[in-house]
Formats: sequence, structure tokens, C-alpha cells
Amino acid sequence: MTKRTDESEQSSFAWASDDRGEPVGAEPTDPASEPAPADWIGAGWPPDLTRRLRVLLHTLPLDGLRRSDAMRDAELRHYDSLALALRVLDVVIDRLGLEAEADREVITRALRPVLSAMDAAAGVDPSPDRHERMLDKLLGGLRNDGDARRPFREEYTAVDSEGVAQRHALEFRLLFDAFHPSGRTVLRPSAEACNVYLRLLDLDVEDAQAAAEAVVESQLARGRFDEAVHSARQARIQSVRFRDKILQLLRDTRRDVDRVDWRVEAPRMLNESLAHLERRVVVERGILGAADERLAIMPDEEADSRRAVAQVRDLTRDCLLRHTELHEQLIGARNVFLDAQARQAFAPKPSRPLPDLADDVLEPLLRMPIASAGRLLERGFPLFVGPRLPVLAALEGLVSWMLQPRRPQPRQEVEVEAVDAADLDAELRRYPPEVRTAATEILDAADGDTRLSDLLVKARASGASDPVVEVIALVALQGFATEERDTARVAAEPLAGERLEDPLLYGDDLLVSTVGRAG
Amino acid sequence: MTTTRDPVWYAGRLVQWGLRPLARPAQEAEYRELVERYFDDSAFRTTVRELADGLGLHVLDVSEHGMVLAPQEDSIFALKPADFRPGSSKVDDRLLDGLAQVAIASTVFPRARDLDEDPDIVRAPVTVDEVEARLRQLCERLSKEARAAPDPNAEDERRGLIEAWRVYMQRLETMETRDARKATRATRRVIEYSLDRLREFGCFTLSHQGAEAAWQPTRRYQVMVQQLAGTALFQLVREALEAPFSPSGRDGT
Repeated sequence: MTKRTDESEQSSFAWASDDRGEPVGAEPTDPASEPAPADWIGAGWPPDLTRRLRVLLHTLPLDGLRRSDAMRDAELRHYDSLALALRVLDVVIDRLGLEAEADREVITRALRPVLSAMDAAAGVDPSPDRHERMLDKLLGGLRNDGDARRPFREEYTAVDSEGVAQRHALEFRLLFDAFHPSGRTVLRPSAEACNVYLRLLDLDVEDAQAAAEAVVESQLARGRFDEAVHSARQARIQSVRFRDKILQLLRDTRRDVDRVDWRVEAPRMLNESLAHLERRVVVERGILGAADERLAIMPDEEADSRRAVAQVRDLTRDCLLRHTELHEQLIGARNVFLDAQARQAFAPKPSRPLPDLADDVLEPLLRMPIASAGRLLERGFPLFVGPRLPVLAALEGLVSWMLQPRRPQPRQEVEVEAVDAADLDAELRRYPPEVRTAATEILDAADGDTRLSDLLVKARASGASDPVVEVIALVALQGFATEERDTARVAAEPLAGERLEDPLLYGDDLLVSTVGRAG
Repeated sequence: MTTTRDPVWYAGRLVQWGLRPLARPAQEAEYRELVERYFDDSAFRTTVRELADGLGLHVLDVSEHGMVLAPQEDSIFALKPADFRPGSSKVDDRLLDGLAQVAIASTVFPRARDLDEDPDIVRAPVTVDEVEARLRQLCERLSKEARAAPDPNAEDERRGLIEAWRVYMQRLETMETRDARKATRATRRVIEYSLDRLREFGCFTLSHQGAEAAWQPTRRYQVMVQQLAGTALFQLVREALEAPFSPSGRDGT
């Protein structure tokens, strides 16, 4: 909002200086050089050019990565970081919303074949160590580690409607580490990166919900229905948040109009929200249409997929409903502001700015007499540590609490015992060699990521005996339980909510990855 | 949830989950269901907010990561600096603990606009040295500025009228006489203690950057500072600066 006022102030300033400047100008006014303002400027800088320019700027960090290829250590110079970066975005976007969202390990697994291919093209032997080093540099570049992981900042010049060229700066992220509900840290693409990658250039690139819905569309089109359900759920959460934000604004206005900046911020937010809603409704109708079409052509045997698509449809319909309702409320909301404006037409307070914690909070506190600083900190302190649990004295409870066995701590990290390669082999050696060979063949035939359940079904279909199935499951479990992944033959991770059912085995399904694990 | 209870009971359950800083909906089916319900059911949302409000808690955020609560002023859930360091009743200690909190937050969020970012984005971890350096540089600058002014007299000191930065510098100097290397130990120790307690509250996790201990802020901490703590303390400071000559007994409300 401040930017807007700045711009209008600046442009009026530009006019003012023009007026003053003319008589002073070195050359006498030449009527031929006098432009017919509006048309000429319009032709000189169409407004959508600025938008296109901003879209283009989002690719500059990738260009920077590519330029740095030549400056890297000699042994890393043959890797094309632009290609690798796109593959990273591909993996990360593909996994978005999935329980097994992409973390460093997933990236390593997915990129290893690409890195090896580049090694081969350059006549170099692949080396996991070197691959790790390259990935460090690549992810560091995409996350902007070099600038303390701040957003990338690209400056550009645009000409405003008054014909004045102005410098602007655009800040955005491409890839960032994010907290995953499971407690892990995962790599996530920014909304901008999703939109650029999915080539949805005509959409508002900063729009998180547009990104979420674009992902739903793309996953539906790719036939990744389970993932589409997760993404649709994300889109719905965005829509709930969006709604809460608007309703909060309205509540605040009614309660205390000073808390809301209705001169600039609130009307802008309302206008943008209306435009946002109108765009969302169009996209959501599109997704609903696509889901209905899918359902119409999907054979009944694919019950799971049908269920997933139906869920996407329901979630999207919920978003649509919410947005339609909110649209009505927003139109009514204008009156809330008009009323507030009528009532409070005197010197409104500016909206609360965000503080620089060091300059605006810490420094003034340090300058204060200790008595005052102490009093303020006394009040502010509890907010920084969060709620503490008051202790209620109850003797009976205390005694039984002291006598009860130690409760297991909530899981922060799982302790994993390193497994020796020799131990892994010992477990397998109980099976006759021909059984082990048969199991190995089936595992080797699997390409990339496969569900354990699919592997077992395939094994059964090819007439494998129970012991062979057991060995496959055992190898997968070794991969799952082993911290030192290099000692196991495969890597495995849990697929939440997926069940594995085999005459022999029952339990949570695993995602088994055999890439780069040549036995 | 087999038996159906009154929505208020479920709201109470959700708030109780929110008060367990280490619990995650991803690991607790009941927590997960309650969060879903919070999203699905607007009447339930209102109930939860009212219940929390009645208990003296702000609901800062509800998401698949769980619920983030913050104590309201004078709430029974508010942890005062005096309770932060059991066994110490010294005013100076409480002041330093408070300053350390602000310094930690300002190291995690160095720029104003950092407070506006998506709290899902993992911020860079901080070290004790970084926080200490931030605080020390500020204090040294203020000390340089004050060089021309006369030193505070004993009476001012007794009445708590000396500036807060002097307390920090005193802490440094008392150690400096013995061993220069240990000079920052006292203040470093204050910061380390603060980070350690924050870890117990689920606000940081301890990791290692090479040999050095690094403290990784959790999403919960990021939400708390971004949504409320940063701006709320700023507001208090601003109010205090606008009325600087009020009687010292005034509490600023």
C-alpha cells in the first residue's frame, strides 16, 4: 500500500517538475518534439509489458546458476546446472502435497541418474561424493544460500502511465526448506517457481491458491489422482485462510476502525480479493469439469482412482461454494467501509507497520532506564516463549504421577542403529541361493520407485514362491530400517495410509527405490 | 471418536493439544481430526476461539502443523521473566533474559519484512555467537555515543534510572578483568540458557553446524514472533516512547 501512495506521489511530482522545467529548458519549445502525451506513451510502454517483464525476471536466478557453471571447481564443471535445476523443480513439484514430499534424500535419488549421465557424456566416472557436492551447490543456488536464504532480488525498470521510467525491485523465492507436518524438513517450490515451471505465465505468479489449483489441474491431467486429492485439500486450506483473513478484516473494522487502514489498504484488499475470487471461480469450474469428464470415461474397475477423482471434485466444489459465498459477503463489505468512513472522517491513523526488531525494538529498549525496560519486557516476554502450563497442586495426582512408569516421549527423532552390511547378508543367507537370485532378479527388474505391494503382486504373477516373496519383503524392510542407506540394497520409505495385503504379509506399504543400488 | 460429546468438549481437547508444544497432528489421530473439524466447521471454530479466549489464550494459527497459542496479558499461561530462571530474583538477570529474547528474535528475523513471510519457510538457524554479537554491537555503539555524557551516579543506579545497555556492558566488564577470552562468557551463557529454555518450549531444536551448536527455530516459534510477539512488543515500546516522562509507577496501559 505504501508503494502505491509513493508511486502516485512520485508521478505527481514528475508532472510538477515538468511544468517548472519547461521554461528553464535549454532549447526553446519545439512544437514538433512536443508529444501528444497519452497515445504516445501508451504506444511506448504497453502496461502488460511490466507484467511480462516480471515473469521473465523469475528465470534470472536460473540463468545465474548456469553462468556459475564455468566458475565452479574443475571437477564439477561438466554438470549443466540449468538442466539439473529443472529436474529438481520437476521432482519437487511432482511430490507436492504427497506424504513423501521431496527431501534431500529424494532429490539425491532422483538426480543421481541425471548426474551419472552427465558424467558419462564427459567421460568421467560417476562418484556419489562428487554428486553430493554438486547437489549442495545446486540446492544452495536455488535456495539463495549465498544471501542467507533471503528471497532473490531482481531490479528492473518500467515506465509508468505518466511516461516516467522507474526502478523497481522484485523479490521472490524459487525453492525453500519448509516444515513438514511429520517433523521433517522438506524442499518446497515457491508459488512463483510452480507457476513458472508449469508455464502458467498468464496467472498471477504470487498467488498461492492459483499455484495449488494449477497443481491439482496438472496432477489430474497426469493421472496422479491421489496426489491431486492432497493438493485439492491444500487449495481448500488456502481458501479457508483467505476467507478468515477477509472476515477478520471486517470484524476488526466493526470493532475498532483505527486498526484497519481503510484509506488505502482495505479498499485495495477488497478489490484484489474480488478479482482473485472471480479468477478462482473460473479455475475451480474448470477443475470440476475436468474431474467430471475423467469420471465419465474412467472404467469402474479403477475404483481407487474413481474415489480419488470424486474426492478432488468434492473438495473443489467446497472451495467453489466458499468462494461464491465470500463473493456475496465482499460485495456487502464495501458498505461496512463506507459506513466506517462516514463515521470516522477525521485524521485516520496509519496502519501498524512491521518493526525492524533490532532498530525499532531492541535498541530503544537498551536506551531506556532499566526500570522502564524491565517493565516492558515483563509484559512482552511471555509472548516470545509461548504458553506455559500452570501447575495445579493435587496430592492424589502427584502421587500416582510419581508412581506411574515413565511415559514415552513424543517422537522427535528416531534413533536408528547403524546396520552392518554383514548383518544384512546374514539375514538373507538363511535362504537358499536360488531363492535369493530369483528375488534379486525381480528387484533388479523394478525401475526407479515402486510400491512394495506392486513388487509383490508382480512377483506372485511371475510364479514366485513364498520364500522369494519373503526375501523381497526382507530386502525392502532392510532398506527401510537402515540409516546407513549405502549398506542396504534398496531404499524404502513409508507410504502413509497405504496398506499392503499379500497372503503372506500385511501392513503399511513402502515405496521402494532401486535406482543406483546395484547389488 | 465413537461417543459424541458436546462440541465444547472437543474444543477443549483441541486447546489441550495446542498446549502440548511437541505434539503433531500427523502423529496423533485425534489431534488431526480436531484440526480438520476446525477447518470444516465454522461453529466449531468460534467455540474453540471463545474457549481459548476465556482461558486467556490467543489462537495464533491452526494448520496441519497443529495449533499455535499465545498467552494473553496476565493470563495464567503467561511465563514471566521471574519464572523463567528459577532460583534467581535479581532484577538484572530478568532484564538480561528479556533482552536476550528480543535479540534472539531479531537474529532470526533481521529485517522488518521477514516478519511478513510465510511461517512455513524454514529460517536459517542461529548460533549463540550471532545473537551475542548482535546485542554487543548495539550496546557498544550506545556506549560510544554516551562517552561524552557524565557517568551515572550511584543514586540513579539505585533508583533504576541507568540505561539498560549499561547492565549488559557491566556484565561483560566484570568478567573482562579476569580473562579477556571469558569476557563474553557471562552474556553468552545468558543467551544459551534462553535458547535452551526455548527448546523446552518447542520453539527451537538444537542442531550442529560443524563443531558449533546451531539453534533451528521451529515453525511454532516463527508463528509466535511473526504473528504477535514482534509487533506487540514494538507497540509497547512505541507507547512508552510517546509518554517518556510519565511517573515511574505507571504501567503503560
